[in-house]
Amino acid sequence: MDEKELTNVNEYKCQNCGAPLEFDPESGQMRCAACGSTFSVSEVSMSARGVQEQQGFDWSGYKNETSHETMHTTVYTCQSCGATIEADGTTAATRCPYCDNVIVMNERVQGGVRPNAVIPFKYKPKDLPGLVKKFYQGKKLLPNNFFKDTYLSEVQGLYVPFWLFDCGVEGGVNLEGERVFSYREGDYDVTEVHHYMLERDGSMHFSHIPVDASTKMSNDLMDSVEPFDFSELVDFEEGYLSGFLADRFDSEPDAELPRASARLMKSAEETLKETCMGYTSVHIRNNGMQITDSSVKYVLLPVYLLNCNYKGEKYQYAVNGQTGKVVGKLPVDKGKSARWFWGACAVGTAVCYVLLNLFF
Amino acid sequence: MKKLFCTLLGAVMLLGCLSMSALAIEGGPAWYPDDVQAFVDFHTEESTPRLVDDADIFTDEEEAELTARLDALRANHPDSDFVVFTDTSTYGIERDVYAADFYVFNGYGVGDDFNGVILFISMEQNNRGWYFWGTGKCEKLFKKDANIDHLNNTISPYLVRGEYAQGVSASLDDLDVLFTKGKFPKGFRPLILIGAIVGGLIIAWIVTTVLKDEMNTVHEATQANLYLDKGSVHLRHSADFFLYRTVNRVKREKKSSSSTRSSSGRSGSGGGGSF
Repeated sequence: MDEKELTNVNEYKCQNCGAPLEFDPESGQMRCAACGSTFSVSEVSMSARGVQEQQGFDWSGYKNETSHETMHTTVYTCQSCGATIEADGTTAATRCPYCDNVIVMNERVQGGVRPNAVIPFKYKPKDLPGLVKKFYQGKKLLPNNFFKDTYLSEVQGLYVPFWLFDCGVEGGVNLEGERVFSYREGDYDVTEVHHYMLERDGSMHFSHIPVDASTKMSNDLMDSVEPFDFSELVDFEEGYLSGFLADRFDSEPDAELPRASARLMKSAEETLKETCMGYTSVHIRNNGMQITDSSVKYVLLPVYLLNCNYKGEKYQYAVNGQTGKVVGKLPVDKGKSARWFWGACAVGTAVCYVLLNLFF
Repeated sequence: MKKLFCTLLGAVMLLGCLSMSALAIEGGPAWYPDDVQAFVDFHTEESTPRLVDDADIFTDEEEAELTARLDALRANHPDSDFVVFTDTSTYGIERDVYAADFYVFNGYGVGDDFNGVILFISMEQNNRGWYFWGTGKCEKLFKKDANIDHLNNTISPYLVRGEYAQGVSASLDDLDVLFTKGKFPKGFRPLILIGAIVGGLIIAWIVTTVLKDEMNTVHEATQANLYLDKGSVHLRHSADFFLYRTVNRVKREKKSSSSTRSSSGRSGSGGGGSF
């Protein structure tokens, strides 16, 4: 472990009473839990760092920082209680585990690694139980005692780093199309299939394809919390991080572009396929499309992570901090599953028996 | 003299041809009308025999028993007529038309629609077979393949073995059930049960798979449809080329039942077979 004291960190304090300030998703402002005073995010951020030039995203220089920072764990001394906190190289905002003071590590969100934009949290931690309960409800195979026997080991409101890709796609695809005709000819049933080769060439543009930029986050979990409403992206201010955890990216755009490419190529193929009208079936034979005009933004998106324990097994759920969408894997009650299987089998067998007797 | 003889011969031949054209079949049975076109439908007497064994395949006792069965059948189902007819020749006519003609030209049938059914057995060499024909309200029952199949499956083994009376008796039992219940009970069929169980297992698998899928909402995204800019799609080139065609012909299964009209035009349905 490389011991390095961070000096450029922000702990936002109320200008009226000096208590810690946190970002309030409900009002979209910084709020003092002690005296209730509210301040705009930009006001607090500007006063914390002084006048600082907003820097746009420049990913030409960050590579060096990435390779250096992510390899090392750093140590910070909490300025409120003096506790020693370790943070890995990608942590950009955290809480002191002793006094719960929020800490934003400016060095991790400035200069070449400053995010372009952020979607602030809209849901507060107190909204989580209601959202999660709605997620559980109606799940037929959930164990009956799941609520009673589950305990939350950890709840984190986390700004997850994402790359947003804007890409153009152009080029052509070759497809096979079939038209099937059925008719009677004398004593014969005739099936005639006409085979076609189809060519389609075109262009289209995709905006804001999100790919998470943190190797610590599970790709499919982050894919599942989509979609985000990117019309609510705001220019990044450090103040938004206050009260929440935040990570910095540790995976570069080059490494994540293939994931975005695969998704947009699939959609581009489907879009061109839809222009083939009047065919019984259409299949892609080869795809000669290419990505053009790609650009990337570095943004932070709000996600709550809930870690649960149920009967010795760990379950993780993610909640989209903007839309409230909950995703995760729930345990399946084997007894309920068996009862549903055999019940459906009995009903299905009865229905099939009646139908088969009717038609044969 | 010679001239007179030729004239007379020509006249006789002409008369013969004319009389032949008036007859539908040459040297046909006595019940066949001389002029089919001029035939008018009529109802025969109640006492007219319903069992006509021109092929003489039944013994006297068998005839008496079958006649009694036919009378009982007519009593059970008074709105229909039941006839059994055997012959050694169809005079070149198809069995189905010959059966229909016998029924119609002998005035069988109940009511304005001449409701009823005939079972015809042909003992003609190289044309042995049977035919069930129903007309009037009975036509509907004989249009269903399942009913014809059942009747054919019952009588066929008997006729093949030469047990003609037993075959007819079993068919009369079948007709009684058909006219009483409107269809033949299907009975227990193991294949149907196996098919239903397999269907039930498939349905159960689908249901539990759907319910289990609900429990896991974490999936990797495979497409980016939501992020496609509407209006940005430009199709620059589009071409469709016809390559070739493939044709697959499958012979249709022959239906068991078919529609048949008598020579006078009366419609009916039925089916039969050969032995």
